[in-house]
Parts: sequence; C-alpha cells; structure tokens
Amino acid sequence: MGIVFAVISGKGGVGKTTTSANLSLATAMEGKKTVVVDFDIGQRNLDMILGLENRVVYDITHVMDGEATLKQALIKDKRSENLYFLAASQTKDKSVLNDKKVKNLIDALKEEFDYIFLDSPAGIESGFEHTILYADNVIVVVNPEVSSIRDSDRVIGIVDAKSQRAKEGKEVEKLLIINRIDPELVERGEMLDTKDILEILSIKLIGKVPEDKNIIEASNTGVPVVLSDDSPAGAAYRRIGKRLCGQRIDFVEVEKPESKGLLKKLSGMFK
Amino acid sequence: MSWLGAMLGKKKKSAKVAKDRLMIAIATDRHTNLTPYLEKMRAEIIEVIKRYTEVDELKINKVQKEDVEVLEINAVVKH
Repeated sequence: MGIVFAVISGKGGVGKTTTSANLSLATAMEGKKTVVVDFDIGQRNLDMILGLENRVVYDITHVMDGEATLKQALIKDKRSENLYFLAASQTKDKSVLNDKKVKNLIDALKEEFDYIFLDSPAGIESGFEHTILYADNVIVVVNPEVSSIRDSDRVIGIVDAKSQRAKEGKEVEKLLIINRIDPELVERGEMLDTKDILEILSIKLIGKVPEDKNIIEASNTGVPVVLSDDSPAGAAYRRIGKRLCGQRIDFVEVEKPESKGLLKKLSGMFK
Repeated sequence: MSWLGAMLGKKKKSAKVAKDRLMIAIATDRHTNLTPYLEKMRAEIIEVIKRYTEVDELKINKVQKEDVEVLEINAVVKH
C-alpha cells in the first residue's frame, strides 16, 4: 500500500511544483516506485518542470471521469525507471473534483505505487482541500519570509481540521521544507533562520533548500536540479528524498556560506 | 564591541523583527480561526442585549483556564 504525500503551501510561488518534481525524482532514484500527480486543475505546470509536456495525452480529469484508464494516462519518466507522472487538466477547473472521485483515484494509485506525491494548488480553495483530504503526510513548503510563513500556519490548521486522517483521529505527519534560503542574508540576520521558523510553526523539519540560480535553468529546460551534480538545491532535494525513504541523513548548514565553495573554486583553477 | 558594532547593535536585525511580528500575528490568526463563530455570536448577543438595555461595548474573549476553555463576555451598558 502506497504512502500519500501532499505538497502544500500557504501562498503561491514558494516552489511547490519544483519541490514536487524534484522529490518525486529523488525517491524514484532511491528505488521507490513513485508517481507525482499535478492536482492544480486548470493550471497545469508540473509537466513543464518535469520536461514531459509533449507527452501528455490524457489527464487526471479523464481518469476520474472514466474517459481514460489510469494506465493510459500515466506518463513514464525516461530518466528514472521508477517515476510516473499524471498531468492536471488545462481546460477544466477545480470544480470537477469531488471527494469520491479523488478517493477512487488515490486508492488506485496506492495499489500501484510506493510513494504518491500530490502537487497541490496554493492557498485554501477547494482544490487544496481535495489534495490534502486523503494524504498520509503533508510536505509544507515555505520561504523564509513573513507572508509565506504566516499563510502556511493557516494551511497547517486546515490539514489538522479537514483531512480524512484527522477526522478519524489519526495524526497527519507534517514535514517542513524551507526553500530558497539565502545564506548571506541569514548570516547578516536579515532573513529568518531555521530555528526561528521551527519555533513559529512547530512542525518537523525534513529539509532546507538554498536559493539556487540553477532552478531557473532547470525549469527552462525541463530537467530538474536533482539530476544535476553541481546544484546545491539539487543536492538538498536528494538528501530530502533519502530522508523520506527512511535514511538518516544529517542536516547540512545551507545557511552558512560554505568554505567548500571557495576550495572548489580554487581547485577548479588548477584543473 | 567596537563603537561601530555598538552603534549597529542598537538596530534590531530585521529577521528578529520578522520573528516577533510573526509570533503575534500567528497567535491572533490561530485564535480567530479556531473560533470562526465569534463574530456572528457577538453580533447576535448585542442584538439581544439591545432589546432590553443600551449596550456600549461588548467584548468576548476565549481563554484557556487549566483544562477548560472559557468564553468571557463583558458587556458595558449605558446608564
């Protein structure tokens, strides 16, 4: 039986889709049979980030409405044996979702896959509630700035109130990813650090991802940074993927501008 | 600390400011989100009190007293 992770955030633009793409690739590379589903109906994006936009024939609403089988709609990622992708509809809107359809889809995915990632729409609209409804865990993505953190506290509250597990009196594990950390700003005391954010939100930390210019290139080309050897964010996502697979991986101080960077540069000069 | 450091030290770092502001904002948010009925109830209670007297001000607070949650209602009536 698969485990469902909903990737959520309070406000948009914090890197949810990037996180979903990279984490699903990371767990697939760890050997878990993984599927990543774009739940942002009407605003299909994950296909571009994964570089699979040309291969979408059927989407999530076709499957939910019985117009296509799950097998027909799932797209196999060629970069990893274990990764599959289900696209969001671009033409319909979120009103097509209902509890029963979502449950049937998720049950079917749980039969087939070890890890199921659901890329949620931002905020607290109906699409969001359907994404968290049958989640076993939620991955909360925040940026170290006030509006992102405040809004994420609100969605964490909704997960605790409205998810199926919460209604059954069970705990939904909430895992925090702090994304786009700028080491220099943290060092100067001009950006909230991990300790501050954990104190405010009091949920479990699963990863810290530094700001990384490679992310732009990755989305331009449809090749997620987790596949790149020299992207700090990619390395961070690989570590999170391992943690999600139960490995004990120490947290790296991404907040501190690392001296290794300088060494690397120096050694690069003598190559 | 050098005189420069001392001077700079006087200004609170913005991350610290952000944290303090967030702690307060989130505490308030959690309070209102837990009691979404509060505003409506306040309006209805004012209605009832107005029928019999003139109410100037009505405050409702939800407070935690040991194991029980208490709704404190304070109505200031006009003489």
